[in-house]
Amino acid sequence: MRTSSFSNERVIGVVSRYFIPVWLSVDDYGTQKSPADRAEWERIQKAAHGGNINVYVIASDGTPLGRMNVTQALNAEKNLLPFLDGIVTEQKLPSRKDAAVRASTANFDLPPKPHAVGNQVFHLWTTGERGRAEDWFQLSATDAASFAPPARVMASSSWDIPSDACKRLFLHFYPPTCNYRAEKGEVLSAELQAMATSVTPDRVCLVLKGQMRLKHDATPTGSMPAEIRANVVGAATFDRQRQAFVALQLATDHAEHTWSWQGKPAKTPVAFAVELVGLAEAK
Amino acid sequence: MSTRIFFGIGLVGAVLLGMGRAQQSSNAWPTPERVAELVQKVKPREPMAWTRIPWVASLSEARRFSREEGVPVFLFAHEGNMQLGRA
Repeated sequence: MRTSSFSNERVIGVVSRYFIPVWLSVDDYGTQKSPADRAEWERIQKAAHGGNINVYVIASDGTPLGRMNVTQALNAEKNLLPFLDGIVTEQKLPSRKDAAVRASTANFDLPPKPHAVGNQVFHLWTTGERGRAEDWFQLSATDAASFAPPARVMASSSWDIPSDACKRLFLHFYPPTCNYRAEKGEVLSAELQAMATSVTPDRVCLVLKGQMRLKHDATPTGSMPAEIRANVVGAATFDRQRQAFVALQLATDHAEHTWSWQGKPAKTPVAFAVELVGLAEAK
Repeated sequence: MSTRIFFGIGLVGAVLLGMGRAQQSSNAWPTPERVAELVQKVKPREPMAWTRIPWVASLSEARRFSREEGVPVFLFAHEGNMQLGRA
């Protein structure tokens, strides 16, 4: 929905002007619903005879005015816009006042909670057949430290990044898909080498190269086996005084997503980019 | 005949040279500029369009604003998370 209907200018306009927009994750992925939200969500589902993955419109008195399955709502012009326009016309909805819209709009924390204090937080972007998505993930302080150059590093010297740390990194290299849980993937191979390009008493600049293969089913039910293969390159700056990376970028240089549906294989290009955000802090 | 042989040798040579270059490019160390260029290709230049929708923080909040303004709630119930994740 983010890359289809919620990126449609008319949907953005109608939803913003005539409704109070809110999203609700049915599985608390990265968030926790309050008991009040949970109770209200259950009431709406019962009243609207609806399922988990739906768009609902609820009148100000709590009465459901309509619902639409997300598979239909993905098509803005054919389905979602006529559905919303119909409700606006039927209910004679007035346009919301700008001040009211501003007052109700949430300020979401990015990167979203929760993050363990001391972990390194990374921002990941990916593009694939289903469009573009972004995500955040974290590596433990121990894993992040394993990317650091050796203490007596010299310019042009190279070293291998421990495979276990690479595996935990590459678990997150999956494209926009219905199966969004990294822990369900299996890294089949993970290699990264680093080479120091310049060394001063304060800093080490380095570049990275390697390959990865990740098994990550495209559906939560495991019905669409898929694999991602990629060449990975990177560049980083390590602060020797703080013993921490101050900058780190990774990107795929040619990546493929192979998957099969009902026995038919398919291959589509994907791409990944990662940037170090910094140390997770207490919130 | 000799033209064909020379053409064949030339073709094989060109293919091997091309394979060598492809192998070299996948084995070569990247430059920081090349890495930055690849990152920029994937990283969006602007915040994603869906973030322009004035989302309210929670369902309870949405219902409260709805009652106060007399405006219906548009509720998107989904798996995953709108901010993080790739569903």
